[in-house]
Amino acid sequence: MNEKISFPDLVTLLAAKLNVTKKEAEAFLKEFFTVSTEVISSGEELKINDLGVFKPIWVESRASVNVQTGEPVEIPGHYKLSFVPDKVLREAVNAPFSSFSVEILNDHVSTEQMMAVDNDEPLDDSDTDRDEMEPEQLEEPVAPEESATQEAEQKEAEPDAGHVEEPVANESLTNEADEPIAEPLPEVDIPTAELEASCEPVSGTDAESKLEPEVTAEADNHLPEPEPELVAEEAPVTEESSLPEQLPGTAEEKKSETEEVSAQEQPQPSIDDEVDYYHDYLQKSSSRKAFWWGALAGFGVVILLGVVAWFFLRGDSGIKIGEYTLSLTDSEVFASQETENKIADTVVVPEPMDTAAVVEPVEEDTLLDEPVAQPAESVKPVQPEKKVTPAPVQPAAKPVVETIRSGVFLTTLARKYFGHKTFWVYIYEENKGIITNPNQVPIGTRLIIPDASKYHIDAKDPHSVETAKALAVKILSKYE
Amino acid sequence: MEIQLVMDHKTFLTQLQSRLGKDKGEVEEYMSAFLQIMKERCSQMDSVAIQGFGSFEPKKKLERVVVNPATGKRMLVPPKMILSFKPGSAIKMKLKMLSSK
Repeated sequence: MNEKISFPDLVTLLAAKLNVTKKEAEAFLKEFFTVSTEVISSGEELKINDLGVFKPIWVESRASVNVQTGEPVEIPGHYKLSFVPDKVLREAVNAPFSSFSVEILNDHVSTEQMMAVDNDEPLDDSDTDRDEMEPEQLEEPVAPEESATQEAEQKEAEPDAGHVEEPVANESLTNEADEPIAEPLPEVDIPTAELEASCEPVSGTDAESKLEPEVTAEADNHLPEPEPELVAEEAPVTEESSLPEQLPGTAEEKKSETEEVSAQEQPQPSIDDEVDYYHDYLQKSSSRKAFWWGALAGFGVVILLGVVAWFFLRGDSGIKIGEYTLSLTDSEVFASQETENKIADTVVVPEPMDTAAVVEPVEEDTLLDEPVAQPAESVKPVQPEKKVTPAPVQPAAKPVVETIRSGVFLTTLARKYFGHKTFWVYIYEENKGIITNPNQVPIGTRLIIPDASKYHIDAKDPHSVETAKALAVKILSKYE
Repeated sequence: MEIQLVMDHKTFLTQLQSRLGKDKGEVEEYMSAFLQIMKERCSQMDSVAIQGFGSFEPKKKLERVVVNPATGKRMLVPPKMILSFKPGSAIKMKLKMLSSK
């Protein structure tokens, strides 16, 4: 190991290997290197099988600076000798590390990825406005389609602003928990959903007299996806009854909003008060401040959603069928509808544990209810309850299990999962029962990688790192 | 830039043969034995230094993180052993002479 083999040593080795005299071996090696030197010195490239390629490379002259005096110096062009070992030799030398391969790092979200999420967000925004509280159900993939449609709608809607605004406002009040978001409706950024809603309302107004398809659908009670949503929304307005619904995908919700708008217009008489309220609202919305607040909130939500979605997207996105039972307002009563929607858009991630799912829905409901109630007393939004909530909130559920292999240590795992090797102590803590000595974890040991939040692990937080180091000292002191 | 000539393995062996006055099979035998020794030794972290020619030395490269500029992906490049060659004085001298021509 780490010996230095000189020419005589090489001769001895070769002679022993071939069972020839040293003299012969020396003669061969001498000639070998002499010829090699000659060939290389003549500027030729020399390729020797199984050894490699020697290649004199011409380096152009370049300007440099004398470090001592600071004078500019020109380094004249010259040859340098490059040696590229043959594949066989290279692999033989690298044998101890041959099991390693280049690995793509996902630990930290790069700036590009963040940007990508942002782009997707606009789509989600509309969804999110309502859903914000609900849940980050929305997943990015779905969003794009919606966004496209929304954008188109927005364009249409904007011109109609006056007319549209009312409905929008209503919607925002009823549906959207976030007031700020609702306010900026006129603005394109935040309220994509709102815009949609507004657009639809416009169409609704036009169509109302004609009996829009949506309206008719409502009358029918059995509404395609969009209709159910409308019904649901209307119900909130009327306060009549809140029915537990399985939430359709976010996309559906959006649609429902729009439908709601149309629905609202129809039952307008009852809503007059609300309308006034909305007007006030609109005025407020005109204020710049509100808009920016809304934009800020929307952006924040989008980022949150993006991160959560990113987390959960890895898993399969299961699609759930939602049942809608909707009750209608005075004017119209809608029978409960059951629609099975496969909504790719909704992005329901089944992965999250059941418990997680249960918890989330509750939270959403509460959140939604409160905000809604405040804006318009009369309007109680019936919140669709999600039985099966794809709560992508916390990825806590799935424990990550790693098996110790050769070349894999607690520190390498820590670096892989937490971004800093010092955090191995937490892996140790998590697996105290299995690991007898953290310095020698037997190969094949299956370790549970704890969730970073459990131990407040944050590689970027010096305090967290320090804590881990202190703990490491403590642990290691037992084994020394 | 002058055209780079390439001497391949075969030509090299032929030249060696004529110099040594041995037949092809013998030279090949020597060659393969020599290369095998190199391989064995280098994979044991031994360095082979030949006076005047240069030294072959296995070196350990640490793992590192690189970023693919095209995709922005960060990759962890594992540690590895590489065989480096450092030309000796005689070869350097000759290359210098070649350079000055």
